[in-house]
Amino acid sequence: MDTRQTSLIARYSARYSVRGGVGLVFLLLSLTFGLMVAHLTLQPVEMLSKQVQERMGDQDPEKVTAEVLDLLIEQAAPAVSWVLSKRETGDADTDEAEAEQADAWASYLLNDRPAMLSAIFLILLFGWPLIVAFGAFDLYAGDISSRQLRYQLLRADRGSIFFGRLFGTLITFLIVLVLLGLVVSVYMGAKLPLYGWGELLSWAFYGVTALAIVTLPYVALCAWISSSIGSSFASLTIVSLIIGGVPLLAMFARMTYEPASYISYLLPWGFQTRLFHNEPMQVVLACAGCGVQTALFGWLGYRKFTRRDL
Amino acid sequence: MIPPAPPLATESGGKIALRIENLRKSFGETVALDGVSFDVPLGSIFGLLGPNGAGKTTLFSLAAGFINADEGNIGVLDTDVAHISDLQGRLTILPQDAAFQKNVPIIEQLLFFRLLDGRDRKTAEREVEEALENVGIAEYKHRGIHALSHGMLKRMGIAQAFLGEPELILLDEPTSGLDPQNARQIRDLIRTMQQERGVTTVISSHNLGEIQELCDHVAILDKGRLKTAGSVEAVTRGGRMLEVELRRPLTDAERARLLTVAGIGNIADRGPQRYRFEFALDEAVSVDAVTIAVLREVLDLGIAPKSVTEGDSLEETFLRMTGEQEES
Repeated sequence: MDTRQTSLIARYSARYSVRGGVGLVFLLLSLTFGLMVAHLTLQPVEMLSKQVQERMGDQDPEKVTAEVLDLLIEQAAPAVSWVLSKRETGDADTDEAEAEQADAWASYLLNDRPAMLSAIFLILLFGWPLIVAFGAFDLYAGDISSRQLRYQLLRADRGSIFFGRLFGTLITFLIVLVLLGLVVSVYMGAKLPLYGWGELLSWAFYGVTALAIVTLPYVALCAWISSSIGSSFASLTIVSLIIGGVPLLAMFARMTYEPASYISYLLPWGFQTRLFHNEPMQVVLACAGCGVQTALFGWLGYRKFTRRDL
Repeated sequence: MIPPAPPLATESGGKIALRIENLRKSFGETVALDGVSFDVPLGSIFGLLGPNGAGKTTLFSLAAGFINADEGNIGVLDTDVAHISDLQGRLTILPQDAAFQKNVPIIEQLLFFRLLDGRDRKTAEREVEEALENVGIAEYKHRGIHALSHGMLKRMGIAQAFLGEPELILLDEPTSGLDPQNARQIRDLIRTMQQERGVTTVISSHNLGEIQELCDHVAILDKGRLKTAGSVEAVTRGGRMLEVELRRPLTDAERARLLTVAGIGNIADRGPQRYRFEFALDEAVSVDAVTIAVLREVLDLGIAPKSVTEGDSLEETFLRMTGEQEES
């Protein structure tokens, strides 16, 4: 692999990805998804605040919104804790310890951090992997046996092309994520002026970083699938089925056999929420999981790309 | 990186630009190439001929390292094909089925290729401008490929192949889809590259006249097998026959008189006024001497020849070798 060529290909790929149709669709899709999630998350607070304000008459709107939000957080905390907790293990002591840990985690997200932004990022985290599929399915597929790839193959080794395009896509994703974080934070700050901008932007920065880390294994998975399949449509279909199918399979399989829930660990689905954990060790473990999967999928993709007919 | 191999040499002792050895490639059940071997001499313009499905594009793809051979070896400019990216612009190709990126200015795409080759930006810009000028699309350099017609796109592909200082260029049907004027321009460019820079060019084309006009060496493929390869003269049996088209048919007496010319073994009819003089050479008579004697005799008969060709035309050779003549 040649570092100069890899860097050139990465920059070229990132520079022109948005100018190609798929890149633009990906950008718009990401921003639309982010704003939609932000809007749907904030809407109940807004509506409830308006109703309370109408009943209470001349109350300070900001105070009413803060009280409504506190009430909502109080009501939502057990549900959030349940979502974040591991399911029952059958062992009472373990279950209790798990529940306590989940309560602390939920409290951290809802009380110690801007709660609504936490909610937005957790929802984004669930939808983002599928968005990644739309942005990275054609990393190589569609270009194999055609287009510019054949002009590049004489000039750069396959490893440089593989990693150049991979890094280029990651740069594009990072730019999109930063834009997404900014748009969501500004939207929330304007709609719900309860948090300071500093607090909001620092938590948004953390959220964007977490999303960026979870993006790595999914993009590497796309690179593997995309380098194995010539047709971009087939690549999109398979990538979407795998990314969307793994958590669904885990969910349905565990209904008949509890340990089958570990299927979700085949992808970051099993641990990706832990990137927002209150305990640093859990965050480190989640990052390590993403790193291992990125390396594995990346290696499989590299192996395929460097050996197959192009 | 493999250590550079010693320069490859042809049987006649000259260096070779591309060596194909016992190449085999299948796609599932379909055998695209079956034990093909030939050499492309350095500095030659080499024509690759064959009917549709003969394996020409597969051979180009293998020689460019796009696809991997099932068996056999390919040496490109003293480099094993597995390390083809080491050539860094010394080998270029106009693939049949490649396209350029949409929505990216033409100049940016070509610049990117030269930067990959390791050129600095200033040199790369100059080379790209020159290549676009050569194929006559310099005025479109800041436009995307959507602004180009089919023929212009082809010319852009050719500009890409002529970019910089290539030593070996593989052109898969470079003039298909071009108007005669542009096709001529491309042929002239190929010839100039050979004469001025010693560039080796391998061309596949269905235009046999074009190949005969341009190439000094050819290989004919049919159904994945090599039928023949060598210099155009050797392949068309040049030096062994002379084809002459006259302004009127020969009488029996005239035919008998021409048969007395030393070195002529037979005269076969090839059309109403077209004759093939088959040589029966011995050490005392040279090809040139027989050719001159035949033409002199024809002129003495008061007949002006319309055309004179040494050997078969490439088209006849091609049809004979690929079996189309018998079928038709």
